[in-house]
Amino acid sequence: MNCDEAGPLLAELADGTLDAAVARRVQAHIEGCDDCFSLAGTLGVWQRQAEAWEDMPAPMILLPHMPSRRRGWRLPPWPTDLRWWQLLPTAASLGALALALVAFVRAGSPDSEALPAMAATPLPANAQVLHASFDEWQQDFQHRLEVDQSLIVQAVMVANEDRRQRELDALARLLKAEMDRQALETDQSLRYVVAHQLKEQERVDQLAVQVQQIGWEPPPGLLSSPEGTTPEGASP
Amino acid sequence: MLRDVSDETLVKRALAGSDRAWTALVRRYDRRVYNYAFRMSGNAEDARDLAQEVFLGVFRNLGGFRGDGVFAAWLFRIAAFRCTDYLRRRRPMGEFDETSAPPTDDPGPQEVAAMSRTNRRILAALEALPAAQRHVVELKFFQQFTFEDIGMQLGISPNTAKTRLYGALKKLKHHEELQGEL
Ligand SMILES: [Zn+2]
Repeated sequence: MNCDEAGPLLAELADGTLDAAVARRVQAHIEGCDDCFSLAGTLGVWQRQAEAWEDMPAPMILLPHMPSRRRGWRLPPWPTDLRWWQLLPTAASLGALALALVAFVRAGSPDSEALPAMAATPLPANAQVLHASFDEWQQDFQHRLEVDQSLIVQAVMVANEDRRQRELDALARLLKAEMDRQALETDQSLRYVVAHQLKEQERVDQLAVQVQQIGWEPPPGLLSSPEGTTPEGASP
Repeated sequence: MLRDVSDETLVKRALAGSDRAWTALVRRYDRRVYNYAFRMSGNAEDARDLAQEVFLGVFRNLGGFRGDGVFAAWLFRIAAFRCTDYLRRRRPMGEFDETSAPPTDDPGPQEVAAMSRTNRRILAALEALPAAQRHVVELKFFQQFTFEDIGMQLGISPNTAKTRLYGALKKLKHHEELQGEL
């Protein structure tokens, strides 16, 4: 037995599903062949790797509904390669159909004057049955419509999940940048105000010293204006 | 409870129009199929699409399951078909064959952050394999099907499946040597 004969049988040897005689021959080959011995090791590693895989949780799977056999009709076969966005035209036409149905039912209601002759016409004997099956059909239709709508909503949500996440990430980055900028600006303006005030205070102090040096007396009321008079109004 | 009911019974009930049975059947396999799809495609987005396609495929073909075999093996026949088809459609023509370049997809930042080191190592090693070999490794080691099942699932003979696994093992050993101890 050579490598190309023994190699493909390694998995079955490990599983213990080989015929005893064949298993002995494969075993004998492995013991005398470094390559196949090493491959058997790799096989063992991968059997353990498979067990070590940590399952990720399944995403939401959109499920078409099982056609009901009791109602006596079936959904058409699910189209091949259906993508969520291909449901949108269906949704649109179903919506339009629903609107048309509503309009039709309203137009045909008893208080409508559109078809006065209809009310006078005697009902055929099987009308009740017809009416009942129409009601049933309508209910079924409504149910399917709701199911389809929820499927579409789900599909759109799933399809947009990544995009929403990206938008949120971008928004968070923008917000952080804006906050950083504002913090920086606030910091800068505070520094500016403090520095400016210090400089002004220095000038006021210098002026006071100069005034003292020339022995000038301010007129009464200038430095103790009771109502916060403007300097212009109080100047001599 | 539906939890104790066999797959085959759930299929029968689903075919009789029970949405509950159908949902239970899907919930029983969605995680397994999604993780299979993840290892095969190498990224979360394709895995999601693929898992969705697999269950649509199951839905369409459920009437064809005659209950004469194990449901899981039948389901993975659909999964394998969908997966091969999906990967072929995703790649330019002619890239999906024995000698094709491995996919180098980014699994997606959130998925990578959530993934264990073991999973990342496994994905990296699987990506070193051509899709046809990766498929056999997946079905043999991760799904633990027999070569007869794998042959049926991939539309090849059991012997071809064995030879592919042998080829895959040689490549994995080579990858192992490049990466150091796995
Ligand atoms: Zn050998």
